[in-house]
Amino acid sequence: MPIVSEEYKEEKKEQILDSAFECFAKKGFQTATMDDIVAHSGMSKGAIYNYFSSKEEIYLDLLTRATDKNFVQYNKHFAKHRTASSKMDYLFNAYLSANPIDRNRLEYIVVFYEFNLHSTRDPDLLKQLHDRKRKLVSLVNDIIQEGQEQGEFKQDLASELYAERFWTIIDGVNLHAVYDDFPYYDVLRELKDMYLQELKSE
Amino acid sequence: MPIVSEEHKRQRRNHILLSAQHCFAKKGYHITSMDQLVQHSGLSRGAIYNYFKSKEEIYLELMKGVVSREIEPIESHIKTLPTNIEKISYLFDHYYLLEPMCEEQKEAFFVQLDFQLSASRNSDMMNILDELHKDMKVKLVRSILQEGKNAGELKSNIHVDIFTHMFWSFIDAANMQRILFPELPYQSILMDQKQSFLNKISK
Repeated sequence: MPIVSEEYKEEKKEQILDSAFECFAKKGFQTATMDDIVAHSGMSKGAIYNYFSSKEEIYLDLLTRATDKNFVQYNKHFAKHRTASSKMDYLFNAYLSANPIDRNRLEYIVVFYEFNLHSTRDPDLLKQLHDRKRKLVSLVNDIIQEGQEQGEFKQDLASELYAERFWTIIDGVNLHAVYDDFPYYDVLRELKDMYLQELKSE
Repeated sequence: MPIVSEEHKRQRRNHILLSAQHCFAKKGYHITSMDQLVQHSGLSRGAIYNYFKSKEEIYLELMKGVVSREIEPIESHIKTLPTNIEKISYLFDHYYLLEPMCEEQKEAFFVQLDFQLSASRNSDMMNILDELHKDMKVKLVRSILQEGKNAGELKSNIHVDIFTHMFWSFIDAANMQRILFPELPYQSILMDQKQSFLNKISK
């Protein structure tokens, strides 16, 4: 049996992930099958099952990688920001600077929410989504609490609920980006103003 | 041949649609077959084909029904409210009061969301969805905001279209989260958003 390096394994994995994402995007998460992924990847069935046992497992790996990448990015930027307000600003701007009609981004969004819907039928998958959501909420919650300690943000605000609301805003504009004439920037900019205005102390 | 009343036909049709809603929400539209729809409805194949030509047609009719069932109760309640501020306030309250959501409501939101996502790959579906969204949801909120502006209840500089989209994008996302994670405090989040929204638009 040949000795396979970690690097080789990682490369193969990435190849499978890319290929699987294309299948999910094209057919929809629900409809795409492991067989589609095998056919599209040009690899053998055995080779793919060596790395992943199901399309759910593949998607979760994709999602975890994307989320981790975002977190690295956020934390790198947060290290440079002095105030909690500028961190919140940065988070909103990360979404304001996205191109809402970029095909690849839209596909990513559609597949993500399809996976969410699919997960309502599977408690284990739902648990994983729940844990990811908690991580996102605590990222924002930490910033809000920091701002409250520094006197930048209102003291009497329920920080965790407020953090949860940030992600509802983001989910909303992302979900509606599938509509052709959704004014993504204007809506998000206005929601951002509204959110920050309520957050900041006088 | 027995004479079937219009009322009976209407009930049959609704029964088929609600039964299909349940199947689509449980299994997903694409995976559900016409045979499964027949089986779950408890009717005969012929009876179903009397009303609908295909699974696609059931899906489209279901979507239309789902959106009007969501909007009609809001519209009829809103008519009884004297001011536009109260109407906007009620828009949020309506969703706040759907707690806990019954299975049928969950399924209705699920099917809408699923349709929206599938429509991103199919321009015919997207056209239908766009039309439903504009004619029912957007129109309702836009007209209240516009009237509120005209009546001098709301700030004159608010952009009616933008605030309409702000409302629906937030509500749709909140409803999705409630389907996924019923244990989260979505009622509080809706009430907080309502307060921020009202602060921003009221004079």
